[in-house]
Amino acid sequence: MTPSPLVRELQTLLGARNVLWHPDDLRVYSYDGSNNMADPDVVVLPTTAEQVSAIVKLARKYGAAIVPRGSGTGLCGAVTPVAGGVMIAFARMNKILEIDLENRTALVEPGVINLDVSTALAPYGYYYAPDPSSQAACSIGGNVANNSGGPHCLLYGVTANHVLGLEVVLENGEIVFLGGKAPDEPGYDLVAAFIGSEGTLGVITKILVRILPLPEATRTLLAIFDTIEQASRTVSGVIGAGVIPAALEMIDGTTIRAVEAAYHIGLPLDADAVLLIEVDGPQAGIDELQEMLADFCKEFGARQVRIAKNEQERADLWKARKTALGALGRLAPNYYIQDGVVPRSKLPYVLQQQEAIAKKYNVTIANVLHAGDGNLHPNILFDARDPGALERVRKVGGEILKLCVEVGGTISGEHGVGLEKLEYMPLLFSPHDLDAQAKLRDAIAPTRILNPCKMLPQGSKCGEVMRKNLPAAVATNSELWI
Amino acid sequence: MSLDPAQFSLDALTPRTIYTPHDANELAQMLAQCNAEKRAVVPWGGGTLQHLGHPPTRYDAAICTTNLNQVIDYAYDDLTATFGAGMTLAEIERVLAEHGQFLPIDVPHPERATIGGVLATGMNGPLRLRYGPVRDFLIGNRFATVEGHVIKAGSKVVKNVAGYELHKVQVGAFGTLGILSEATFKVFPRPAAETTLWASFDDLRDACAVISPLWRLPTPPLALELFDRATGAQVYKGAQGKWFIAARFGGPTATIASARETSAQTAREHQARVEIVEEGMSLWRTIADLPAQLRETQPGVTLLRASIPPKELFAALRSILDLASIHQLAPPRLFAHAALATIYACSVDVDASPHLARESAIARDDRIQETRMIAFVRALRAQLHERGGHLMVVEAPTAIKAQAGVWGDVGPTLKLMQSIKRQFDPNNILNPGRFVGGI
Repeated sequence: MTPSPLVRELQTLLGARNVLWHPDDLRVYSYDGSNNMADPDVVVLPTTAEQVSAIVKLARKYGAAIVPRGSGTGLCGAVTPVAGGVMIAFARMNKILEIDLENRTALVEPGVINLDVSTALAPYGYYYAPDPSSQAACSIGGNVANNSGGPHCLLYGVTANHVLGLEVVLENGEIVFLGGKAPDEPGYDLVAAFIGSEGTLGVITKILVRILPLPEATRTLLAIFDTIEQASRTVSGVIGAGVIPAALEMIDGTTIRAVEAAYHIGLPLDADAVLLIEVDGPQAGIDELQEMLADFCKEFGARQVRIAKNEQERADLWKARKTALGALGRLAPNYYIQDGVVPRSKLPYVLQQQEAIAKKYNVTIANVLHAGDGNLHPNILFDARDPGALERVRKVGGEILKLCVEVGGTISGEHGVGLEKLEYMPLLFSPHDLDAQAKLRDAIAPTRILNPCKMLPQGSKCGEVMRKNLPAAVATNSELWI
Repeated sequence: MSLDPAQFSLDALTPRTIYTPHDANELAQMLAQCNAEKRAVVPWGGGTLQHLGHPPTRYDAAICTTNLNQVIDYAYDDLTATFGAGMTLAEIERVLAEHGQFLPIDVPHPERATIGGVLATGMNGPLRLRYGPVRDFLIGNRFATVEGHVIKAGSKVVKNVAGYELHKVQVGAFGTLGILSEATFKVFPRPAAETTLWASFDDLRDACAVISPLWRLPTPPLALELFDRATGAQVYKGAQGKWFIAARFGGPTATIASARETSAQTAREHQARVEIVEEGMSLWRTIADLPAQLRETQPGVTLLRASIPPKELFAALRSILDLASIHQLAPPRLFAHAALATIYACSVDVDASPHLARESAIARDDRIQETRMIAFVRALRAQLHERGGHLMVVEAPTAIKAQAGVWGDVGPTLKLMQSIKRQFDPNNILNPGRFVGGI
């Protein structure tokens, strides 16, 4: 096999070691955390924004799609290179460039792992708040591209609330810095436009994040309920009383039984819901807050409330939540995880309806929820070897999303649109709404060379079509913004 | 409500037509009509922030949103609410207060300012310190486009990543891409209790040095404001000192008791004389009104807003005072959102007092003062830029705004912004010329 002209030019630019083009190497980069797969034409591993800029220009020259990739932990196929092209992997751009405590910022490269930011800040008494469940593996660049959440975003907000600036490489190779350490940057909020844009507007090469002082104290409770109804009403009760916990997570009976079977952490097998509640803040008043929450749980029917008395016990209580997905392997070899959001008050109704859908299709659903935000993660269990099983669980997933939209919710709270949710975008947005979003994209990235076929529905054969049409699109758009 | 076009004048331009749509669809139709006829439009809420930006280069019609003033949706146990863009902040506050909730937007003239206007101008107040800017708790909105559609952006639930964040791009866009018809927010429970620390200093350095420790307290402050002597005395009658810090704390009673003690102790360690203000509501209302209060004091005022990284506060305040002196201007009145670092500097050097006869000597003095003010603004903007900040001219006589520039240079991203503008408003009818880079 001989390398293509594009590959040869990339090799000259980056050194042969940092350019992967052999099919076996490409296969490693063909998948993410979802069930979608496609091979890129070449994978490159740059170390600087200038290199990224040169890569973008080369890709343009050959009409090849550009797909930026963080850790590949995404659950929707946002990083699947359906039109082939140049995948830019950020594994070598993994440095924390600056920690500025007085300004409460940190400047990081996109390949930095989420948890590593907080680990680096801990000795100074600070941390980075957004904590997606995959935080030990996922990258900050990926977090920005997806506007990632996590359990603690209930109180602290999502990634969009913690990003102050971005250095991006635009589709013409220009490097620009958006935002900064000062508030109220004049002009349109381009930082906001880029967050959650799934790599379709530009390639992010630096992120200026907001950092927070570590809370003085934390209290964690685990409450065990007979029914989901009781647990849901507790959630509403807590929030309705004006208490916003730092985290409010729920797991259902199916998940509890899987977790017990796998990890024996001491949860009763006949309970149908477990709530994990965490509050943090000043030491003064936190014990009263903890008491109040324990009382709430009991008032709404909790049969038992466990309170963590130290860091070890806190970690133990969190095990119930953190091991959940891994434990599902006890029940089935595969799961299809969904990501809908509904108004909190609609949770009991939605979970009930979801049970009915599960029965209709004869599947088992294990629920893990960011209950405080109304963000459901139904895990639809199946065996991929069963003929038609994947198709069936996709149908179940679709019905759940339709249900979420019907009650006033949305089709994705954290995982993004990627490929998986494209067909559901019309549930939320009219053709005119989608058109307006396309205007934003076309203003910033008109050739669609950046992560094509993502974010907005563009037809089922989009990958093939884009692969064919990109060279012409790039040629006619060679002078941008004229 | 008066429909006298003169009430809608902006800097000697008066529109020929005033539209007052009754709902979002009518709003979109009127906008489309204006677009078809290429007539320039200024979206108008309560008119409390129309002094911002440059005056429009063309102005044929005002589209007034004050009829879009309903509560569209309020799910108090979900802590979300959707309001018509023409609702006033005071009315929103009243509605939310019934359930012990609120929106942390503390800007001037809440009884007239509309939520649409606040969003369009990207205005924030002292509470931004704890709750973030309005953009952070905006979860969705709808806006009318020049094509005559009402576009939905974002969602009505607190977490959503489906689609581009188009609702956030409207914030601070000065109505140049579309006209907001409604907005959906995450709302907040009111803190159970509040307390305010009022600290008086003789030395600016001490006042600035206490900000970081106060910000770092285990009970973080809701707001942290700095005032000079005159502004402090205006805000808190009888205040004695050269510089003042007001720190607002909120939370459960036990937490507030501790915050009261630790903040007072921290302030004393920095040479402050301290007082606790228990009933702070009216004090904070006065503070929220300051930007309007300063510019409405007398005609000819120049009000500047300097935004800087937190670390630069002391240096920026000194720059303002030193540059004013170098340019032979009286020291401006100063107050700041001290932690996230936004300084308001107010000069009344250009004497346009109406009761004085306009003799040629005074007119010549005015022009000299104007020249000095323009030079001062340019020099200050350059210095702030070097420190990672920027300067906006909030209010100034026409010549000063025109020659010093309202916004400063946004740099290479202007091309992107112009491209966005062209997509949404190809005929350039929405607030033409008022925004950055001539947009």
